[in-house]
Amino acid sequence: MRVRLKTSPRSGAPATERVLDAPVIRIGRGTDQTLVLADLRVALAHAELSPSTSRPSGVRLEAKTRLGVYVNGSPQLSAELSPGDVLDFGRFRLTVGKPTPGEDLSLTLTERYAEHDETAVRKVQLRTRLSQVAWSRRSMAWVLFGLILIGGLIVPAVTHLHAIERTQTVSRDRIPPDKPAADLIWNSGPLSAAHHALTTDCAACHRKPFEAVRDDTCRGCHTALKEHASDHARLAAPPFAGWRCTDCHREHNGPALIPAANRICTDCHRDPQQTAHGTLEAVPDWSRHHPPFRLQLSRRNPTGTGFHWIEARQGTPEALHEDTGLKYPHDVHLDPQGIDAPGGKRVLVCADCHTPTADGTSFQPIAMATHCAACHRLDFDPAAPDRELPHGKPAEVVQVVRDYYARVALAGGAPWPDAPAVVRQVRRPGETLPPAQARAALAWADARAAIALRDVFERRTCFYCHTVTGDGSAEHPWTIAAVAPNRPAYTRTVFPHDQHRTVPCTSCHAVETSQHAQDVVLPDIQRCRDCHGDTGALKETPSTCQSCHDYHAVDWERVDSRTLPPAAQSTARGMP
Amino acid sequence: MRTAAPSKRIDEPIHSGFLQYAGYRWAKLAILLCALSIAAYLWHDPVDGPNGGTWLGYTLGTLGAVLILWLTWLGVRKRRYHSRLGSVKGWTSAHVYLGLALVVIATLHCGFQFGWNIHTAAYALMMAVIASGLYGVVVYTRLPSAITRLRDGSQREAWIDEVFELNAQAIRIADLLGPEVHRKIVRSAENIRIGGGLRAQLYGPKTPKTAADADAGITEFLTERLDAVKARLTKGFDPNATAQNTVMFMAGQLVAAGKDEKEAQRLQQLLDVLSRRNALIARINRDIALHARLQVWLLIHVPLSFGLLAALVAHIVSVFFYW
Repeated sequence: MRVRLKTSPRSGAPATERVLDAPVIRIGRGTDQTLVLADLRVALAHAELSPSTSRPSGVRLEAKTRLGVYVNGSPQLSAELSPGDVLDFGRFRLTVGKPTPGEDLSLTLTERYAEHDETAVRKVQLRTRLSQVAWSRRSMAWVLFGLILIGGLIVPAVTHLHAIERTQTVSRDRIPPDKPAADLIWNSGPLSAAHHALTTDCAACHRKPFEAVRDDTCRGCHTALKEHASDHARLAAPPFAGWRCTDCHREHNGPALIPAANRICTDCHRDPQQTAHGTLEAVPDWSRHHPPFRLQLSRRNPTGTGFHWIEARQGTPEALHEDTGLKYPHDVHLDPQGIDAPGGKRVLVCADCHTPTADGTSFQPIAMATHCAACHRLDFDPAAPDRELPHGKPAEVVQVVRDYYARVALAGGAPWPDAPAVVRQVRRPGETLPPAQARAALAWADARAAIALRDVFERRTCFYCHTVTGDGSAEHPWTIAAVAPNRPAYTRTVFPHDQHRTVPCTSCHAVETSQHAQDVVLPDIQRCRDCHGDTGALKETPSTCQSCHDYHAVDWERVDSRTLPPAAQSTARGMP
Repeated sequence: MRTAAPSKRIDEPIHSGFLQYAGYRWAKLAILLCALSIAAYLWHDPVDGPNGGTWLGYTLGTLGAVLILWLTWLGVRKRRYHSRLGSVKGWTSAHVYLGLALVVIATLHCGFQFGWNIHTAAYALMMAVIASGLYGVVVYTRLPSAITRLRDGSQREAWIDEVFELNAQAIRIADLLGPEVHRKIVRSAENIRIGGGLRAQLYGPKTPKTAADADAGITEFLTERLDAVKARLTKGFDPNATAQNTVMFMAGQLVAAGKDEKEAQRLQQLLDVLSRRNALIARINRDIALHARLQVWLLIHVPLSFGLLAALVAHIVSVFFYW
């Protein structure tokens, strides 16, 4: 076979050419080889090239040593050669080229490195430092810097600005998007329970970059929220001036949105002389310095008609009673042995009369018809037990009783043995009494009615519960003393009864020993302090000012009885 | 007349470590910083609970951010060989101790509030940077002495030169011992592994099993052959040989013995060369591994530091973006 050998000291350098012509081309270090490669790593007889048996005009390489020949970088014991193959023998390299016509193979022989350079070249190829194998620290650093800056700053910022542009100022109609946007990763902590639905909607509140959430944004939803004082001039002055919603309501701090520490209130209220106005009392804390409760209590007007209300601190004699206009001994009604009732003894409990309101915080007014009438029946004649008097209308009562006995007398057939004959006589239908008999019957009826009315007003029915004046004469008809309308005793708080339903009523209200309706059966502040402590208390329930007082909900001065217009009276206590 | 101004520079023994620098000056400062931060945190009782948005939160946050920027600046300072702003050793000492103080300062800054957000991401990156740095401190205090012991006054470059020289020498000897030995030694020379990829540098290169077997085989093969030659040499003359052919036999024996002696010499030489070469390679790879372990944490520390800088920027900007 014929092989054209181009010998070039370095790849690309001018080559000398010669043709090797032998049946088999033998390659090795030995001098008897067709192609002698003087490198100690090459075996004396290293490899042979011969015409391929399987491929026409192909050339086959056969290693004659078990070292093999490096064909394209990997050691092979035999190989079919094709143009482009690279054969390495020590520092020598044979590159297979396209054969020229009439020849079987074209080989280019180069030296990869000169013998004396070899160590240096191979040393350079070794990877002995970390900088040669890993990404450079610098490139990794900048890639990470860029990725985090894009993902952590630029994308969220663009998303957020886009959301601001796309949406209007927040209102109650706003529906937050279902899916969070990239600015979610700026969320510094969980939103309060009330605002949790806005978690995916940063732009609802954060309307302008680098500006804190503004009050008018909050007001977008909280339209009806009242201020802490009704006087706008006061709100514009210290300590209110400059305060924003977010000063008290710190979002992204967990489920609660009201300040967890009472300091936020007591900072002003510890010394209201300095900050607000002189009529407020100093409240530096709850557990030791909160003043006793101030109760709104009814007092009968000196004229005897109607009521007015005073405010009295618990602990003063004024706070021990109120004028209700009723007679009501709690102790009798709550007798554990029971109280006399139609059909025998009946044991009453608080809930028999005190029905909670729908919101659970308070109780519905007591109504005669609902709560009393079952026992306190308004009948007036044992002979007619179903006949009942109208409640709350004394003049009508007089009429009803008189009419009743007049009718009985005129109709005849009355069951009373002491009655005159004309009254007891059974009359024929259509019979008319002669005037003299009629007068006698009516005279009996009037006398009988007078006895019944005196009984009703002065001894029984009305008298049980009401103060009655007058003797039934024309000059002194009976008058029922007015009953005070129901007003809440606490004007600065609504006591949440529903949250205290696990404790019995009597643990706070001393009704079991109360003999008079005038008794004020409200607990004092000490009773509250038994369970409720300051925020941060170790043992007691930590209680914020907002547990009792609402910064926003109540406009105090309107509820204050001293400025309350007489017409604006709340639900009447007692009989409707 | 000039009097020498008292030098303000601290004259440190050149070999004392950066941890002990200036009598633990930076350690003391770091402890003081931590103590002050903890005291302030315990004393401070914000209405909305401890968080990054209180005045103390902002104060600790600012301190932390300034520390992070300054700590990162070590990368610049250590390259400024002309800088007279403290020694690099002093900077490194401060870098380590103030970096550790950052754990306390940043944790108190966030008031133990964590979440899936960029803020906690910055915190996590910071902790990862500090953890990798802590590993760095450990290796910097331990490995240099191990390297010094290993090198024993020599150099890795010289060892590598020697390995190549020994390889060439081995092939030269092997060539004289016949094609089989030649083939084995050439293959063995091709199979040596120095350094390599990340794993190979850290834990030593993995020799392919066949190559490892082949290497073990070579020593066995050469030793067996050496033993055989030695056995031939010690066998000596045959006492039963007849006088007639003794002379011829003796002559043959002498020639053979000369040849055997030479071969034994070469085999012994080859074994020595290979053993010396393999010991050197092991030592080189050990040296590479020690150096790699001394440096590898920087592959994490430096990129994460840059990631931290980006997260810190995002954290600060987003906080004030939302205010």
